[in-house]
Amino acid sequence: MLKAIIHISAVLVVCLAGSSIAATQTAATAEVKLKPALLQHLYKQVLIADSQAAINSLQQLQAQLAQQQDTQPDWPLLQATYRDLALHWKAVEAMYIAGDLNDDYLDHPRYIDYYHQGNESISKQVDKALASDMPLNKALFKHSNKGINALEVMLFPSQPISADLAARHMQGAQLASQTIAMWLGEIAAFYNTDQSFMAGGKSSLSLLVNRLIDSSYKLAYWRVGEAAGLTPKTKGTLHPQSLEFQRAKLSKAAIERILQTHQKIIRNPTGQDLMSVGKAVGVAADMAFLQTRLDATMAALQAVPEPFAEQLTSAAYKTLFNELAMLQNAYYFMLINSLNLEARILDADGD
Amino acid sequence: MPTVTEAIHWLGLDFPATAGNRLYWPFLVSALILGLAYQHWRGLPDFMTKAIWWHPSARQDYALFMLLNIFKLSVLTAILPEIGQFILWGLILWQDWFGYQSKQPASIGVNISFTLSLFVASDFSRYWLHRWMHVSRWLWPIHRLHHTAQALTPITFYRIHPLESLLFGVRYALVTGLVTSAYMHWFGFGLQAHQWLGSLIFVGLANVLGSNLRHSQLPLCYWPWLQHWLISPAQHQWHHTVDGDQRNFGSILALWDRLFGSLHNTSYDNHFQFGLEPEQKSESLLRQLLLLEPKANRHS
Repeated sequence: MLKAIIHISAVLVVCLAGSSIAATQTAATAEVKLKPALLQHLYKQVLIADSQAAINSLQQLQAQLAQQQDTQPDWPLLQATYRDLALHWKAVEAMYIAGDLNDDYLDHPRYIDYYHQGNESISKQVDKALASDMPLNKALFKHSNKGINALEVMLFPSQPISADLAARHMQGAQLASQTIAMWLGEIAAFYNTDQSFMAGGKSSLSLLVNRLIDSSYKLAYWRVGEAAGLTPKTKGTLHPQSLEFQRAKLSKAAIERILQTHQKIIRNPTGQDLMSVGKAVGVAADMAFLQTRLDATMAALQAVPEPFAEQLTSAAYKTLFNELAMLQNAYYFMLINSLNLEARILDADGD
Repeated sequence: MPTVTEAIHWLGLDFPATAGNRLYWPFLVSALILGLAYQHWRGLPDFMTKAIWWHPSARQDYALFMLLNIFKLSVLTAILPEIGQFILWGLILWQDWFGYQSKQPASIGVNISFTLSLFVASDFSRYWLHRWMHVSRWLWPIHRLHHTAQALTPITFYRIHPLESLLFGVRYALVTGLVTSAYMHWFGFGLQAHQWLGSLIFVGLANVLGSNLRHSQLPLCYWPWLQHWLISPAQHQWHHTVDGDQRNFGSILALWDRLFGSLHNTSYDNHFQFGLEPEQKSESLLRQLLLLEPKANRHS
């Protein structure tokens, strides 16, 4: 027994001596401890602010539509307000987490925005409905004919139209704006009243990060790649109808606004951002890499001239796609390194 | 000129203080306590004698352990991509095959399932690579070195050829990359593997329950029914005997041996003669490392 105790003591002494040496080499795996102010800031300054800005633009548009029901439409004014609305909506959509927080809100974005849903041509359907003699509430019976994409068709006629048809466009726009206002209003009201995000800690952070990854994928593959035949789905075939807001010529601006929304989450002037979380948990290098990719993507976007739809075969456009794909990979690397799996390839021996 | 700390690290002498490997001190201490208790209960011979721990074969183990660690830190680190790269490749693969999936928050249930999947996939792949190393005429010369051990100590776990270390490293990277990326394909941030003492919880548990006795001279057996589910130290020791090297390839789960017909139930009073031949002579370590044909290769 004495021998055994000596053995145990010897092992313990060796181990504890080794511990002090290894302590300097082993990185502490810090738990994500979020400051309440950080979640509060992101929630208020990004989610609530963007949804409120979208509501404000929509209300402005509704007021303009109401004023112009019986007059010749002021297209430039309406189109400028639509641009505001569409871009604010892109910011809301990019970081939409209300559906994660409450299942009742899961489908709201799909009722507002039909981009990349199904195979129907909303512009053809809406143009046809507006040109018909049917009452508009019947002609525009489909949900997709009353979303933000239908509104784009109504406010951006593809050719000069008669006063009668313009009036139909105005009535249709009013109908669509009411539908959008209902869904968007519910989203904004939810964000204003629900407190679960701020109480959610790390799980709230995971919602944001997951949305960033989703958004980066959709930027690369939906909003850029598909149109130029750069994705497996459209490989080698130009598909310009895949571009978002083609009539409003907002394809590039929408991408820019989404990237700006990413930027607000990743690094903002207040320091209440993912960069600060990354530093706290020891993945600052990944966050710095991510910021580099974001900057490079933004630069690549700026290098693509307008009109965006005419650049699909250009080198600059392809570079933008590659940068967006790399941005998605940068998000993945951040995700991978946030895992608590250690790089134990070196100690994976068999038996 | 390396500092003392660097030298300790390069020679692997900090393993007892480093979580995540089998020689981490809590695992060594638990094995020692468990072993001494079992030895006392069964009235078995002392397994902590100088004859075992300073046996020529054990001394070879110590030298190989340090050599292997230098190899890992220099060559393997240089040639193997980081595990994150394997996971990224996996993510790209899943995305190409199944299309992009919107990421959902990982619940506790998902994380438990992820942890379990990592463990099962890892244990399963260990079983097959280990078995493959025994049956393949190309791989056996590499694995043979591990089986020339005539005295077993926990360090014998690391008595392996550097090429075997490379193969097991690639195995780990592929399995971890595929499983992790599959989960990440659906569940993004928030996915976590449950760990204990620096190891996957099931591995940590197995280590606390005496994994280090697998390479020891103490034939700790489980109940026969349990040996159908978990490989006991004695079962692995049987694998190291002259007669048992085509049995008990499993690491932690005995399930694979049972499913694929290689399970051998073992008792503490079996006769354990370690090594490859009944009258085995010590072979030159250099010769084994150079994979030179042994004088009598039973697998040829």
